[in-house]
Amino acid sequence: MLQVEGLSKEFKMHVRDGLIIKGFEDVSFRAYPGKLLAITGSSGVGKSTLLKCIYRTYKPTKGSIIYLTNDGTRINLATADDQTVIKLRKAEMAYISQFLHIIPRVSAMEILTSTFSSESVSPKEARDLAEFYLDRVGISKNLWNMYPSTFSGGEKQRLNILLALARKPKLLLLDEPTASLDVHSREIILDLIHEAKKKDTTMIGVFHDKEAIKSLADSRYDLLNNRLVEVSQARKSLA
Amino acid sequence: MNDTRPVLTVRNLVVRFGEGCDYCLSGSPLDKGRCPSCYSVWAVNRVSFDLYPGEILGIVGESGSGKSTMLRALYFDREITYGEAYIREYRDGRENIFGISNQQKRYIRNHKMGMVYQNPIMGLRMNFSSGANIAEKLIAAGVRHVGQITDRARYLLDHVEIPVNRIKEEPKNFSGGMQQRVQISKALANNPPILMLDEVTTGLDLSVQARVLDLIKRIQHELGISIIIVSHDLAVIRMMADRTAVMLEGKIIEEGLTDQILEDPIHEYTQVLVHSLLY
Repeated sequence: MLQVEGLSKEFKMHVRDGLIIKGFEDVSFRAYPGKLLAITGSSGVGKSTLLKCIYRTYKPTKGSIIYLTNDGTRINLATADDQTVIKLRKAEMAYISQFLHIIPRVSAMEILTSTFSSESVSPKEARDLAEFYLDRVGISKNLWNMYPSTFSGGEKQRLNILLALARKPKLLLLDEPTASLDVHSREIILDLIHEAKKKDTTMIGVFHDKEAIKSLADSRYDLLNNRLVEVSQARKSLA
Repeated sequence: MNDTRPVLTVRNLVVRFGEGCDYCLSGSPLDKGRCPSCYSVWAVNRVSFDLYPGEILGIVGESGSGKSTMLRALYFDREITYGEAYIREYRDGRENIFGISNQQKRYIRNHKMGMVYQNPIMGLRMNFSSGANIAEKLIAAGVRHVGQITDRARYLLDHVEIPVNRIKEEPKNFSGGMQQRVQISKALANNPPILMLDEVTTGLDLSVQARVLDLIKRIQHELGISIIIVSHDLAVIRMMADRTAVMLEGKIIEEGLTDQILEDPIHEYTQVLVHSLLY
């Protein structure tokens, strides 16, 4: 449901006299519902750049990203207009990084309740859902009405994942979601990702975490010298 | 069926101080927005953009970039030199709002656009109660039933977390954050499809800023209203806006998804602006 062909990204840095920096070049792959495609490679090689191109935080320089939407339309994310991308981000696509970006001085309960509430979900139902999931990810009840800025790194990341999964995305982009986490938080997050896989979410994840790759990945690609190389059978390669 | 047309379309908007001359009227390069030949200042220089249903559009730029001048021109606070703007909910977007009568402009200000200013004095009558401020807006829109006016004022003030027992107090006795919230409730009194926010958190204490911004986000989520938020603060824009337009010397020089503008800026000035952030 996601087909990337000949994708390239370079940056022109005016602040450095027009220096061109290559992100990656001529990347092609396919991602499928219910499967997680892991992208690995050394730091600075362009893994996050690739994810951000799919999410359209970065505008690709060349190539296509054909995505099959919920209503069966094929859209090229590389060239889609902003309104289409906004609509997809709200309804079908989610991006999880290591960092939680939220308005300060708003409690975890308020943030999650607001995320769940919609035309078809009443404020009470939204609150009930928020309570259920906060409990599900092991965030202590005495933290529910606290600002997430007071949370530990693991608690913030659990909330981060919840916020992304609350909208039941069809395409989930994961940028080192388990980086720097304690074992307990890591396990909860891996569980949540497994659950999303069972719901046929298509996932592309950047990982340094070998255990996470072993646990989650159905295929693995290595980004090396700005190019993507398939590493057959992720679990075999890590055995 | 959902109407996906822009709720506001602005084309070729100009606010110029000075008569202009052959040099600047022909579009020749200006010196920081000023014509080197006749010294006319092009505060808003041929600006065009669209505001889509349910989106928050950020307009960012440094002081003097023209962003507030542009917003106020759209709200008829300031005369324009020339340009066009169309509101989808006004005559189906077929009439240029800069060419209509003053009576119709007042109608648009009462029904189709809400404005929240950086300085609450500009948006509120400080010697009227907060309830009376909202009532004024409702009465201007033709509401006459006292019960309806009272109920609506209470509802709006409650929605912006102003305690009901303060409805009879004058905003001059409120904190800056509360004054902004009263302004927001007044701006929303007649359910306008468009809300315009001009540096609404500038000058507020940090501790208050976050609550005002969260309120605006919640209102947008609940009402589906389209919002233009003008700010020099990229952190505010990052937090609030779906799309962002960057203004420099009266022109929009770059426009796109907010995270794209902040993380993958194309224009040289945007790159300088973004790389100057302290966080």
